[in-house]
Amino acid sequence: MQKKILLVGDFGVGKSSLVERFVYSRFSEEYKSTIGVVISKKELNLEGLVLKFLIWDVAGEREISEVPASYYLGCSGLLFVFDLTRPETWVGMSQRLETIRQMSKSDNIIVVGNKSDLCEPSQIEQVLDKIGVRVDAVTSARSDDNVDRAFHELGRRIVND
Amino acid sequence: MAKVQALDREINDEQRLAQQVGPILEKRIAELQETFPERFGPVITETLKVQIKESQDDVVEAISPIITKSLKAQIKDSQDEVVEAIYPIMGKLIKKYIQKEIAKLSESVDARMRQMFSFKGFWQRFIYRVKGVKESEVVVQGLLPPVLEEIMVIENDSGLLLANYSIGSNTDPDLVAGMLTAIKAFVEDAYSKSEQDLEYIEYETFTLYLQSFKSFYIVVAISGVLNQAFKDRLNDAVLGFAVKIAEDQNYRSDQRAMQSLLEHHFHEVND
Repeated sequence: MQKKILLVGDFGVGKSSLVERFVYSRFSEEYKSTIGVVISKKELNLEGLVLKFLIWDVAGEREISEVPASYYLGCSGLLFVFDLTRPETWVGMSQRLETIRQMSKSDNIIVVGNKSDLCEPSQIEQVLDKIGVRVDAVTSARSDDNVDRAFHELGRRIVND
Repeated sequence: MAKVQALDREINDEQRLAQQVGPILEKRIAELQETFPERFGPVITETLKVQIKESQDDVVEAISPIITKSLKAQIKDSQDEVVEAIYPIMGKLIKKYIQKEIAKLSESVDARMRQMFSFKGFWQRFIYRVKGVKESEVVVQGLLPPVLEEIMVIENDSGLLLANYSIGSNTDPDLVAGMLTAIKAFVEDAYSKSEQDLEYIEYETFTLYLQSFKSFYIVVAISGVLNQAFKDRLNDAVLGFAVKIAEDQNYRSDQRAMQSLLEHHFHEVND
């Protein structure tokens, strides 16, 4: 079974780093802005079921509507990534999630707070309280915290959909 | 007796002896320095030769790392000089290669022209003229015949690969299918041509021919120069395949069946 998934969110929140970590098990300190879209592939084993993810890592945009609408077509799920250290990447999140739902016609959206390695646990708690939306995973691409878990969670939701 | 004593003083007094002997020794050393290579060179060379021959592996093992290291350092330190030294040789090689390739091309053109001016050639030119085909195009097509390299059947919305048939391509068809879909979507979005489809992507003599259907599109990668006969065969194969898929929806859920149907329809396009 193969499924198309999208990573969306502001620029510099670490979408590409999460893909690099998940697909190639590596991390680079160098920041390279994604131009357009980069597609990667990874197979997941979900309790015996092999699920092939075609991952569309879309260039970061503040406004979700700036992402070409056609990129959302046929996607089975999304990871909405924000940066735990930059409030501007998570303010107004519920509105943004609604826009994503409408554009993708998918309810399989995993909300991911990235760069946990740069925050104290108490700071993370504060951010999660302020956001007002359920955050599904707190990750760090640099220290490989919960990255696999986030993608597997999306896989499980897609399979059970 | 006095002479003996004087001689004894000359010998036992170091300074005096040095004054006497020094110039003689210096002269001998200077002579030796001049004649050493001539006198001892052949002997040393011969000895070294024997030594190297007897323990070749040991010598290689001992010298290789040093030579490699110093060569590396030398190249790193004097890149410009290395380029300067290699450039004329490389330049000559490239020039020679290009000359050879031009000669080959020229031979092919000559052969083609000879054929064109034969009776058969005149007849063919007459036919081309009647059909409105340019003779130059025919010559070029003969030199670079079209070859079908790869076919991909891709789901319209998601860009997921449904089936592919490749002749020696080593690209990842899943990723290519995704990227092509993104490019197609971008071009169609950017120019607000939702009713129209991207049909060709060309890169020198490499062409991607895209044919869209309701739920999927077909991408055919072709190298060489397209001619009408090839286009006709290709269109027949594309339409034949699409009709089969439309007639039997089971193909959509059976990737293997779609794969063999694809091979069945396209394996004769290159003939």
